[in-house]
Amino acid sequence: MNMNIATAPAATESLTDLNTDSTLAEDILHPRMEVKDLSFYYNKGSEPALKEINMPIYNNKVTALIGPSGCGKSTLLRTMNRIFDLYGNQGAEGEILLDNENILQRGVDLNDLRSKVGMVFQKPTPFPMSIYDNITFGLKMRGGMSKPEMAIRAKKALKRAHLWKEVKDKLHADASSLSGGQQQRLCIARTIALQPEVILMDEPTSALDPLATSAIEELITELREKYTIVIVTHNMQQAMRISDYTGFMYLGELVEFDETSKIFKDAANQKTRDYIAGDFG
Amino acid sequence: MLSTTTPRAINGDSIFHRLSLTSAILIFLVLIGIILSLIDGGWQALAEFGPGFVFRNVWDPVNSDFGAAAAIYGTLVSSLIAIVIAIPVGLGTAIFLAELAPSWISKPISMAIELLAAVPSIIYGMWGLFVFAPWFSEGFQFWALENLVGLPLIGHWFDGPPIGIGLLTAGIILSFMILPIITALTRDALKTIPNVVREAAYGVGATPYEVITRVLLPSIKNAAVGAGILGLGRALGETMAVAFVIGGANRIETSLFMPASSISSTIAQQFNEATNEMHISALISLGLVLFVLTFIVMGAARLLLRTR
Repeated sequence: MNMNIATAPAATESLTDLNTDSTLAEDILHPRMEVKDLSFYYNKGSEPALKEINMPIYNNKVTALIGPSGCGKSTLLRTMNRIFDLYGNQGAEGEILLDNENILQRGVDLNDLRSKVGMVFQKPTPFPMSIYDNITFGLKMRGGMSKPEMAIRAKKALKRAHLWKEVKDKLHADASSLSGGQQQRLCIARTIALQPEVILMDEPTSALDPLATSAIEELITELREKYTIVIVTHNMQQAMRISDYTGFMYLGELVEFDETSKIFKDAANQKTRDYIAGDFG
Repeated sequence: MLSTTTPRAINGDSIFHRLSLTSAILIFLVLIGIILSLIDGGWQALAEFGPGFVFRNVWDPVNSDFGAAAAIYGTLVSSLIAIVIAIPVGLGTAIFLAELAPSWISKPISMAIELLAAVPSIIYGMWGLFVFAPWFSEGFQFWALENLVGLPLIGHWFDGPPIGIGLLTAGIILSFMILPIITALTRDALKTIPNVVREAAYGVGATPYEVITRVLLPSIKNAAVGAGILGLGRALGETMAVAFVIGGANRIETSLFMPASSISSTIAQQFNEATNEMHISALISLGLVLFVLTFIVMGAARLLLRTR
């Protein structure tokens, strides 16, 4: 890893330690995704919005991206399932490995990629159809699944997203009739239904009230057992509560990446410490 | 401080309140006035022919025998043709402009569509009569007479003189005229859908076609219906362009090639020539019928948009 070694020596060391110390840790800590020398441009030829980012995304862990507004954390997230591809003039350089395959290269099946790397957005995005159809939408798009199979998968996803009890009697009601928190859990369920490997979450609780937020946070903590999660958050308490690893970004660079406890208690970089102390951002 | 500013604020507020109330009442009075003068002007004909005026298929100024059925039929059918053509074309254009086209294509096309809306209706009428009608006669009507007349159910629609003008031509010209409003409204509705919805749909592996048909179009269902109704409203009342190309015959024919008349075109064409009082009264009654018709359509649109 050649992340900012000069600025974050302690971070790199502790990661290496974790990786080599015990075989068990190594087994658990295999990176599901790896970002390598990633630069990102919103307009070809303009200033990069991301500058040579290097970071691992560990399997079955929650990785939080924090940093002040405009630092590039959402941009980084949006490269991981290539959703930026929808906008013609945006481009990424470098590599993002998913199971050792570079997802940024040409010829990658984007539909396949996006069913492996799901995404949950800042605001709930229910589709204009019933709750049940929302959950099975992605499955239908992918095809090759019978109706009963889909029903089982939908029920599982709703249960896992802690929404089943609330909606089981109105599966065919319009999804927009749900509350904001329920809608966001519906979107998570929709993502889970595709059984992705990685779930990207872009400030998933920023539009929700505290109660709905804590429900989503609990859910994220549980989902870690089955999925690898990357979450962008403005809320540092949230990052502290739910993440295992944290990356601090500033002006398009990944300043520091380490275990969450290390970042919040004893960050190696002065900027990270300042940000966490609330001095800027 | 408070005690000195509060009375002044209330005073200004109350003047403003009264002014705006007056404007609102004024609009209401104008509306009532129009309805009353239509009823008053058309009373002679309405009293003579009764409520049956709307169903009577006769228009005979010489013998002072009038009925609105042919004009209502022409109005409804030409507007319906316009809607049937303009909704799919407008929706397709809107989807292309908002979702598929890169901006260097969509910008000039959008501008062209907005200019289309700015073309005065008399231009559409002239163009329809001098350019479109001859071309339509040679290009489509002769072909239709040979190939479509034999078809079951729809064959008789095309069984008529290939003279270029008539109900179908009026409907097609009307569709050009309402295309801009339908396109613009549905395009704007598509643009109000936040990008995250598209991203979420692509994010679960949908193709552009699936995103558009399954997610985006259902999202703008209400706006699309509203656009269609607004277009219909405009088509119902359109006068000049229709007067040019509809043919001006007060008859009900199943053939869409036959000359016909609409309410507004009949009024426009005959008001100058109407000399006896009954004729004038019948024309004003036609106006009242159009008013009620438009009112019903708009009311239905409101109802439709509220429940869905």
